[in-house]
Amino acid sequence: MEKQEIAQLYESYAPDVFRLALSYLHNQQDAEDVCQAVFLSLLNKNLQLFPGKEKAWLLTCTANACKNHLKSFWKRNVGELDESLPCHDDTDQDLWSAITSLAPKYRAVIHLYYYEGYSQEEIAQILKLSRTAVQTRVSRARNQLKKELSKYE
Amino acid sequence: MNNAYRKLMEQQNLSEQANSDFYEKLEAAKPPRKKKVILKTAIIAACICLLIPISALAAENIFGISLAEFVARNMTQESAGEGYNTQYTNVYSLPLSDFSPELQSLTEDRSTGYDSWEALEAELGMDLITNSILSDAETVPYEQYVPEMNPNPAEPVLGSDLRPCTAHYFAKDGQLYLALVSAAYKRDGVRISLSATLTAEHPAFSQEDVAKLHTLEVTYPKADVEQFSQAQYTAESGLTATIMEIDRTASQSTLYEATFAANGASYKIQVDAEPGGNDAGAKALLIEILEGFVF
Repeated sequence: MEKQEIAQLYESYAPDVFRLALSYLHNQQDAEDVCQAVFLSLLNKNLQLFPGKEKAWLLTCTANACKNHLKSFWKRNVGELDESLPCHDDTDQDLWSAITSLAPKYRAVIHLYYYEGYSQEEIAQILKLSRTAVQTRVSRARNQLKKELSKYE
Repeated sequence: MNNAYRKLMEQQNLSEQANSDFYEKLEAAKPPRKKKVILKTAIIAACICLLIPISALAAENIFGISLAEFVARNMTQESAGEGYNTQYTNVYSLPLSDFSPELQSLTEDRSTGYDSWEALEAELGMDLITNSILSDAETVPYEQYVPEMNPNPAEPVLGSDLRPCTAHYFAKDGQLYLALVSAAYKRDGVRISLSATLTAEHPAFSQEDVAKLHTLEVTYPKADVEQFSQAQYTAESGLTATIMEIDRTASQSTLYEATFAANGASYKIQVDAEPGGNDAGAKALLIEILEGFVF
């Protein structure tokens, strides 16, 4: 893929890729690194993305990159700085705290479902899961969030 | 929850620094070189070229033998010990009508023991070979174990039978196709074993199959072989035999084996001096036997 095409894709989809990475990793710096890695990896691959499917493909790559990052030796063995999101009010901060309490696999489905607005079927395709698994994860994550958010009320 | 989460995430953006870093990295990054791509393609092509003959060889013959056979042969030479492989060009199937009426009506595999070579030939329905040395008074029949093999229920079990001559008859589709016969003798402290392979014409076996049935693949354990040599011997009658000389460590004796083909059948003679016996005498006896054959 040419550099110009990659730059165009970055313009269009970098925020979405970054936000999915952020929902997975909960760390601005890590999410930015993953985002850059995902787009730069296009340069080394002779890919022809299907028109209209670019975003889904990039999100799948991001999910995989985030999973790898979470599994990495460095991530598992080095302590993290507590980094809060720049939130405008306390309600957002509470919501973010509730989200961070979820396991990464739940964060991803919540992000794709509530933010990206994908259907469960589409999430299943992006995350390479069965539809039932997505349904279960959304349901569990929702229940857990309800529980967490009730603490702040 | 839906709107709150969306609102929260929309506030999150890549930093200016991250964006400029990305464009810098993208600018500096080098696309994969064509050379690299060509090299990759060449490696893949080489692998495919290598895999095709290997898989074809594995599937079936490319050089006349299957891979399994090829490996087995080389493995036996390298790791299992010394041995030989004899493939005859002058072997063929005999008409079924040449065999006795009993064998013409054979429908399943059978093993039988006989007290004499003549008795064996009588059941076989044909005279195989004549050799005055094997039939003279000084050559004593030596009893050998007749293994049980799909015995005919109408006949007694031969599992514990000891006879100087044995025969194994093999049938396919209710018809004889292979006869393995053998006889054992002793003479002057030397054991002599004579075995013959005969094939009967059968619609299921091509000439190539027949050649395989006659092929002898013999390997002696490495631990028991001190020295192994192979030579050709041509008798006065024109009979050409391959003689193998196997010096055995465990028994401290030498085993001589001669293989040859005659009248469509293949033969093997083993001559083996008893432990501590006269090896040179054993070899001389083998030559004498080879010279004594009348076909």
